[in-house]
Amino acid sequence: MIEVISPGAMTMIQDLGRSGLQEYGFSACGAADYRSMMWANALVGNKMNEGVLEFTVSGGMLRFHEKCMIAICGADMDSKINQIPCQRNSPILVESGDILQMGFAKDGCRTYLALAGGFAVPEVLGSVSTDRKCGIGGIEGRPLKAGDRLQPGRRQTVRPAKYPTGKKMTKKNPLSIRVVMGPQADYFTSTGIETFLENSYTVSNDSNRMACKLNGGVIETKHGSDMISDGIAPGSIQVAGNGLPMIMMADRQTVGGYAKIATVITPDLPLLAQCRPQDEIRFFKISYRKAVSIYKKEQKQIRHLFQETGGL
Amino acid sequence: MNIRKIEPVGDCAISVMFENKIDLNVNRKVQRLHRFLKEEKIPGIRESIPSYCSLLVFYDPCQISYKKIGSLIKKVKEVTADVEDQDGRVIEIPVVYGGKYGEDLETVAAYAGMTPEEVIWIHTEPTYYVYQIGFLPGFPYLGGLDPRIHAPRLANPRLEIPMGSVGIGGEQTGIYPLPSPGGWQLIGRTPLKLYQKEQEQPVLLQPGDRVRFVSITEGEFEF
Repeated sequence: MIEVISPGAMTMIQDLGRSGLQEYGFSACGAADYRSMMWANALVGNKMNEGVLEFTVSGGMLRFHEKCMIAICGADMDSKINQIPCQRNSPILVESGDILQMGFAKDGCRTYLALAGGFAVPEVLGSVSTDRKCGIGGIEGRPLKAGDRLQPGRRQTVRPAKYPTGKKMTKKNPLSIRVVMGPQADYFTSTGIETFLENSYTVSNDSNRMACKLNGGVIETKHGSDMISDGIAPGSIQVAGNGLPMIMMADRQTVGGYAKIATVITPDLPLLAQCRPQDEIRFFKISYRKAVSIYKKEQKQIRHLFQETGGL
Repeated sequence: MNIRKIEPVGDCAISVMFENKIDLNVNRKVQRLHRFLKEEKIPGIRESIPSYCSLLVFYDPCQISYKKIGSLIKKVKEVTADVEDQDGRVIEIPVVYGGKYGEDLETVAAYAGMTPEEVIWIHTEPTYYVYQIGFLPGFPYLGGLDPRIHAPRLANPRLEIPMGSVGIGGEQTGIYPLPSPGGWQLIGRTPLKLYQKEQEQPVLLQPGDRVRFVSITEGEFEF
């Protein structure tokens, strides 16, 4: 059993999210940074869709009451076990009585902890992801709180993966985020599109798992950005009435009535999930063909990784 | 099928846009395409979100190409060209209007220049049509509200609206399936559960359904 001594700013169980229910209005949810989440699973030999702990901005304090294998990926939260700094991106064997203490994120925003065998929480509508709005998934559909006791899942594990040496999360400022224009780029003037592509934007303080909100140049529309609402994809960049872009993230609502100037490509969503307020972003336009080929390349790497471990 | 435009949305989705208007026949086409893709279970097509006049189709580009989906959609046009559209189910929603259940009924009435009873009568008169579900699980975007009882949204949205609240926001009326912040004028509340998290089919309403509101008294149902 793992005891939550303190939960951190906001800690939830997430897997890759709910599928097939967006037509009924359910948010997809799932890990904001799927790449770090999958790596954490791979390092302890879990299947790629196993539920992990997602820590946001600050980590918590956990006491392990049994021996287990964990891995921590994503932002560096100064993790220490029994006061001794522990490695990121590497499997860690913890003993009964060990205390994991995490601080504030130093180089990103979200940290993922995978436990070999997963966490024993029930799947709700096909996923263990916490959906706070609906109060489902994870622990009673809510973030962790002090006193929670997490039971290990005891699901069969496979051969753990090795994290490539030299692989580093380097963050440039401004961060370059690749987008495919549309589906409503025609709502904007050429000046508006120029503003969007030629300026950098800063991440606003009220960004969350639903949307990464940005400050910067106001994007000019032809006749306003209100439209008959339609479906929203992950990474859709809505331009609200104030002319500022917001990028729809894991907890996004399924339909919305603001025109979407562009869509962030899937492999760049984890970069956004690691952005902190005041970080600078610059959008870089690519063709949809290029976007698809980048996506396929990453999926191939992921499949390869979990084929090797047997966790596909 | 009068598709106006098919456009990629990032690397994993496609937007199929029909005539750009809120219209029953346009929406039926959206739903027809949605149902077709769902029933065919085409490998690589993950799911789709039907909305007023477009369908957002999610797909896995490792399994199916954008081009292939485009040609599949064109085929639907031929397959379903002669199929009659059937109207969905009619679901009755019992509502206690006014009082503590609908705090803004008087405001809506004053705005419309009529009595609360007249507002209730007008609101229970039509059969509404569910154009799309969104915002919250099971939240219906209903068409058919009588223009006489259109009412502006609140200047200061409420932080929490009770589950089952029936509201009017501008030209729309709807029901909150779970507690939520919101800016609509609340005219009543239904004891009917539109969202039940423990159920296999967790939401009551689906796009294409039709809805009638029935006025009930406080004692008739338990909340």
